[in-house]
This record gives sequence, C-alpha cells and structure tokens, in this order.
Amino acid sequence: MHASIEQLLELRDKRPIAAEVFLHVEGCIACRQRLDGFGALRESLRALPDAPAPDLWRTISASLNTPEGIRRTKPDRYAYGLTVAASAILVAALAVMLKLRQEIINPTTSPPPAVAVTANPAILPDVAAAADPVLTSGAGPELVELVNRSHALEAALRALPERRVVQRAGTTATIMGLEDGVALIDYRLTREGRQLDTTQSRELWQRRVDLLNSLVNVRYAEVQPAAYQR
Amino acid sequence: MPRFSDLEVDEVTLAAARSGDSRARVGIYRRFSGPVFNLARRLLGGQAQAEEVLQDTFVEVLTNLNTYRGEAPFAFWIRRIAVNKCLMTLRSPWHSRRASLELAEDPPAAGEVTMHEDHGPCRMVDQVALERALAGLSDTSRLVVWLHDVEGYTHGEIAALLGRTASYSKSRLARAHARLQALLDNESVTEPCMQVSNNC
Repeated sequence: MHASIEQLLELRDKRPIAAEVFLHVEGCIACRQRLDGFGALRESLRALPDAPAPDLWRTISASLNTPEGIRRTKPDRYAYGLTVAASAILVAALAVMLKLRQEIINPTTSPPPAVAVTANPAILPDVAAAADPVLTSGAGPELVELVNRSHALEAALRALPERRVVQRAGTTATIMGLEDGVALIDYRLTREGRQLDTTQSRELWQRRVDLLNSLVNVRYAEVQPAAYQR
Repeated sequence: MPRFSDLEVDEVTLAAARSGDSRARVGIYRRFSGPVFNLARRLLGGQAQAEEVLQDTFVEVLTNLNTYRGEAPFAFWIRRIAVNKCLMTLRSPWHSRRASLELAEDPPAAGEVTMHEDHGPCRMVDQVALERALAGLSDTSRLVVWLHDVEGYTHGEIAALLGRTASYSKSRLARAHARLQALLDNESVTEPCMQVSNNC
C-alpha cells in the first residue's frame, strides 16, 4: 500500500510519521518520486515571480489624515451595495459609449438627416440651452421634456456635496465612465448638431438623461455611507 | 523581492513612525508594500482586490503602530494584518457571491493516487502553468497551500485563522496538492528532467 498524499506531505515537511510509512517510502520508487515531486512543487511555488506593488502611498497617507479614510477600512454593507450598483451602471454606460463611438467612427451607417431640428446647433450647453426658445420651438414636446429632465439632473448633481478626497477606485472609475459618456454625447451634439434629425436628437438626449440619471444615483449613494456605518 | 521573513525594521525607525514622522512611515510602506501586495495577490487571485488589501493593511498598520508590542517580528505583525484583511475579503458578500459561481470546493483529482512515470524528482514546473493551476484552486485551498508551503504557517496557525482544526488544514493541503498535480498533468506543462546521470 503506497503512502497517501497527506503522509508524503508530512514526510516532506519533516514531521513525525509512522515508522512503517517511512520505511515503505524509503524502499518504494513510486512513493519517493511523488515525495520529491511535492518538494519540487513547493520550491516552484516559492520561486514564482512577484509583481511590483502599486504606489498607493498618497492614497494611504490621505486616508491616515481623513477620518473617513480610516472608517472606510471597516467592512460595511454600503460598500457591497455600492459596488454592485456601480458595476451594473458601468456596464450600461460602457455599452452606450461603445455604440456612440461606433456611430461617430462610421457616420455613414446613420441615416441621412431628414429634418433639421433647428437653425441653431442642437447642442445645449447646460442651462442656457433649455431656455433657448428657438430650439424648443421646433423640437417637439418629447425632446423638450428630455432637455428639461437633463437639466434637472444636472442641477441635482450640482446640489450634491463635493466628492471626498479618498475614494474607492471602482466608484471613481464608474463615475469617470459615466462622465465620459455624457461628454461623448455632448461632443456629438456639438459637432453634428445641425445635421441631426428629430429622432437622432431625441435618441442622444435620451442617452444623456439615462447617463446623468445613473451618475446622480451613484453620487447620491456615495454621499450616503453614514447611514450604514456600524 | 524579499519575503516577510527577510525584512525587519529597526527600533529608531519604528519609534519615529510611531511619533508620526512621515519619512519613517514612507520607509515602512516602501519596505513592506511588495510582500503585502504579493501575498494578497496570491491569496485573493486578483490585482484590484490585492490593491484594496494593500491600502487597508497599511492604513491599519500605521494607525495602530502603538499597539505593536514586539512579541513577534514586526514583519510578521504586518503579515498577520494582511492575511486577516485577505480573509475578510474572501468572506465578504461580494467575494462570496463571485466565488459561489466558481469553484467552492476542489473536485477530486483524477490523478490523485498515481503519478506519471516520467514525472521524476527533477521535473521542472512551468511558472505560467503553475500560476494557472493555482488559480484553478478554490479560495480556501489556495490560501492553505500558500500560507503553508510558501509563508511557512503551521497547520495549527492556519486552523486558527480559518476557525477549523489542524486536521482540516492537513487534509485541505493534501487535496489541494492533488488538485494542483492533476491540473499540471492535464496541461502537460511539466518537462522531464534532462539530466541523465545523477538522480534522474
């Protein structure tokens, strides 16, 4: 009867083992090979290359000077919930951004503009655009509604407190992804504003509203941790 | 990169760090960040989680320097904090949920009892394949293998960490090795020793 793996590992680690097992392994080529194999595997594990550690000193130093940073190290349900929500939103935002990028790269795939929304560019930089009577007069009620919702969400974002100095990398990445998505839409509205028909404008504004809505949700969740702190 | 057992901090640096000296604190971070990060990377299997553990470990180390009494080497004190952070991550709902979709228990290895004839004592294990095989272990098995075989933890210490018995740790280690061997054999990643004379 050959020695078991557990017995061979005991032998490898030079721990006491039954004499008959020791004698068997001494005289058994198969067991000795396996024993040597376990030793070699341990050496291989120890020889695995290390990766360079990222330089997180600034973040750690900021955490040490911020009570929030120290509190952050405690496990909380908030972090779990926020991570799940942020991940879902990030996936959605990336999908929107990918689609937008594809459209920008291949503008020929878009149908030719049938109706210009307005003589003015379709881009509505912040609040000024919502009040633009020229745009809203020719855009239809749905588009006006989207524009108004977009500005309401932007106002809600501005009303939230500023972000903390120390942030979770995952949350920051999500927020940056959403902001990039909004910026990409704004870029497209600026560049192609005059050529966009009503449907295209509505689509872009709908995406803008969706992204801003996600952004508000993430930022709102971010400023709520105190409610879950233990 | 040095391991925990190779590192130590002198009393002067430690005292300076306790009193808030930023150079001493940075020095401690620079010296131990590599071992902490790599330990976390091995135990958790992910870069992002390892970074979180690295950050959380040093925040705890530097805020609790005054509680270090010197009973154990300073490096081992840091390592204990890092291992606890890793365990907290492994037990977190987020990680548990992810792990539940993966391998919670190592399946029995087909080649547990026998070993191929050509896998002699001099075989070399390919590092990439070994990394992949390690990743194929369950979280607990990977933790037991790494802490025992690389970090030198005893079965008693591992048992205390996991809230189990030493026998559990031993049996887990044996199963993990069987699984590792099976994974390595399946990928044909081993190279027979080329030395004809000597031991081969």
